[in-house]
Amino acid sequence: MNDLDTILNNIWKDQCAIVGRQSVRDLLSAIDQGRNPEQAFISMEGGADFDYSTTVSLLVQAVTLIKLTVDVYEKLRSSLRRKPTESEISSAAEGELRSMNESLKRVAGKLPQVAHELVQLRSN
Amino acid sequence: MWTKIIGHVLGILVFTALLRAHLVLFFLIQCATVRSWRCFVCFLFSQLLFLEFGAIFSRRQALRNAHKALADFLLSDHFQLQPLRSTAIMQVVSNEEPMISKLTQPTGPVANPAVRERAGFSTSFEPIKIFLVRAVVPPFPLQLKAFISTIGTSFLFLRDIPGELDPIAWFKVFHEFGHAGPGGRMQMFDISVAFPYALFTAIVTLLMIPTRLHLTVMVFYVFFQWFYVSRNLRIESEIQADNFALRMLRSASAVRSVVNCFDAVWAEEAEHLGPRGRRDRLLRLVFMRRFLEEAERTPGVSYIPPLGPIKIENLLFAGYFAWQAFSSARPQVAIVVALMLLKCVAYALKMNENRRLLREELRIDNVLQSKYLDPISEIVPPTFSAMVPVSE
Repeated sequence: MNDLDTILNNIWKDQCAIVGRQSVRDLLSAIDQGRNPEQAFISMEGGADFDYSTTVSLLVQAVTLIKLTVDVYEKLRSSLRRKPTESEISSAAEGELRSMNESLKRVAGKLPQVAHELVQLRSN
Repeated sequence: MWTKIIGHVLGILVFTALLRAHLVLFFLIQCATVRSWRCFVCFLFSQLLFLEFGAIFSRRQALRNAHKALADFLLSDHFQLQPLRSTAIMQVVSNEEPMISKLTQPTGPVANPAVRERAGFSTSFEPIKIFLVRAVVPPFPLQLKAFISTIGTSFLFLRDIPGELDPIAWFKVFHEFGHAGPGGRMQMFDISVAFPYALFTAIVTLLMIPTRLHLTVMVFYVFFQWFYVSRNLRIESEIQADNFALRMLRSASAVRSVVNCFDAVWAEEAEHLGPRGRRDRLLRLVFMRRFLEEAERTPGVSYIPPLGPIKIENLLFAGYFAWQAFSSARPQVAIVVALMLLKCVAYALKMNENRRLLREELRIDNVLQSKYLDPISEIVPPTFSAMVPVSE
């Protein structure tokens, strides 16, 4: 959960700031619990000028990508019995991404950056 | 003789009158010169419509939104509402803004407390109710941070504890306060009554001057009010609330972080919005950037007023009413037609000013241009794209 939070805030800093801490925490916990991203948020009356449906949907995709990358990392680590490198994570995650490319197309390009951040975090 | 003098005096009064005061005098002049009971009844109705029904409409709409939000939060199992003491917010704001520091808002049918005080009426204030909204389980609210009822009891729903709010979160909170302030409330009032009042004015003047030409112009005028003017007022109220919020942030670095953040996020969102949404957001961003430029140029953060309503239309109307006071019936038809058209032209000029500002900003700013030029090509003249190449 902390890794998700840190990577999300490092890469999508602006969007996280716009959405707010509480909402980012809500989003992370919902995706972490395996909730359907499309049902995680609802639109309510009022405050229409700060309706960030596009930003929130991007963050949902971003969290999904980070979660997928973390899962790939853990899988590789157990199979290789060592910490995987950025390129290994990227190439393994790309295979997974191909199957769900449509739902993550807006954030797919950030995969190398996510892998880099994850490796940096885990090396500390 | 006396009618002429009265006409002149009233004409001068009308000329100096602002906003809708000239319409009051219009009907008074009609009563004095035409001496028709119809004019007097129209005058009473116009006042009733504008002051009372207008206030009731806008109040009802705002209260409905606020109460619906409150009911959604209270009745749903997904949220926990925690009432907050106003001191939690007062700690971070100074006493510069009475409305903010007291966390109250004026009440009463006429939404502008300054006008009420000048007219000798007492203004009562009521506290703004603040709640912290915590989501227990999904779904979470998409709208974030704060929204407030502009007329009537206001509810402020925060998603984060005031101590944890960053400049962007404060910006949103102050933006909502901007809507709840005297200026914001008056604008919401205008938005609510613009179309019904235009319709009423059209009907009344048609009753007085029933010609085909006048009828045609009135149809055009009412359509224009309905389609363009209320929309323009809405974006103006957003810009004014943005300016208020930026001014309340006080520090230039906080303003810069907010503007840069909105710049980045809105540019990304631009491709998912319709042309109207893109144009409105870009316009707000342009004004925010101008505010930032001013804040960085001067030691303290200064306030740049947004594009105010063009007063020329009021002057034109006032001129017409003054003329009417001592003119015969025949020129009235031509003049009223010309002035109705001029009023539309004045609004068109006002909107064109916004478009010009956007074009100017896009011309000088390559970054903004590369972000927004393609999505908003519909507001840029065709020659402009050829004239200024998009930066790579």
